[in-house]
Amino acid sequence: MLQKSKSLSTKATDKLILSLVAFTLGCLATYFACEIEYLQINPEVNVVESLIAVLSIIIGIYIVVVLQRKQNNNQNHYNFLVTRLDPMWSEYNSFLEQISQTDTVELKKLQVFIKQFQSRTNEIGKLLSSLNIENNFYTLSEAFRNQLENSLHKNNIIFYDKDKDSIVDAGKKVSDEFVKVYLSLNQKS
Amino acid sequence: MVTIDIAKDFGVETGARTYDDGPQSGQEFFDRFLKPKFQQALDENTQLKIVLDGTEGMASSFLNEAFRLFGKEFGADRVWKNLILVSDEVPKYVTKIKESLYEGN
Repeated sequence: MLQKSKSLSTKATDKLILSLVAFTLGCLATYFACEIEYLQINPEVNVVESLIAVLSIIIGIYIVVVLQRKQNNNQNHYNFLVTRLDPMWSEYNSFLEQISQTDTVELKKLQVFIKQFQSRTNEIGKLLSSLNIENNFYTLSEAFRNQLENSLHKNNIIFYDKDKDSIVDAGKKVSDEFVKVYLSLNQKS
Repeated sequence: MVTIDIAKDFGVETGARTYDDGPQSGQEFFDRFLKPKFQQALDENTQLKIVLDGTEGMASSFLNEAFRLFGKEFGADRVWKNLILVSDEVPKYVTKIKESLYEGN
């Protein structure tokens, strides 16, 4: 998907460069046309105006090529991360809802879920860091898991009715982290 | 080299902390695998390799109890110097194991 977005971004950049070249040629043609008076070319060149025109073109190219590319990159990162975060958030909310509704959970179920969750957040965390977006998914999910694990065990089933409130609170902190990351991504995009 | 592949040798499903918590506990893993296999590695003057990948996830309490007892029994430094851990799926397990080893001292 990232490759596809990259290819789309390259095409958009190519179009922009082409438009810019066409615009520059148009400007030059107009400039020379203005210098023609009654089909006589004025050989004098206004150095200051020419320099300003050249500088304007350079600034224009810089804005189009460098800033636009940066903007496109951020947009690509945003799209990529959001498509990865959405299913994770959905699965996490579903898991937290189950924890909130019941008083027991199989240790196996908790282990499988947390392993997958931490493995995915580890990968996404690195991408978020590259965008200077801090995240505490690992620490918060570990605190949530530890609270569950510290409850009573019997035959590898966790009974957490006595600690339910604090466990659900710890779980909600992970949800809040999702919201924080989504907001940061929106600001950066 | 002496090797323990947790998923193959002990099971893909691991339990919690002690025998009281249920089967496949960290305490059981220490008694059945870590203790005898490490002793074997020492006798053969080689290292103990532990493969942590392939399970359905491991509880913190499982790892903590198994390796806390391990460090307590043989000495954390001695164990750490003779241990090779393979944890490509969840690299953070290695950090937990090291913390647990030194907790037992």
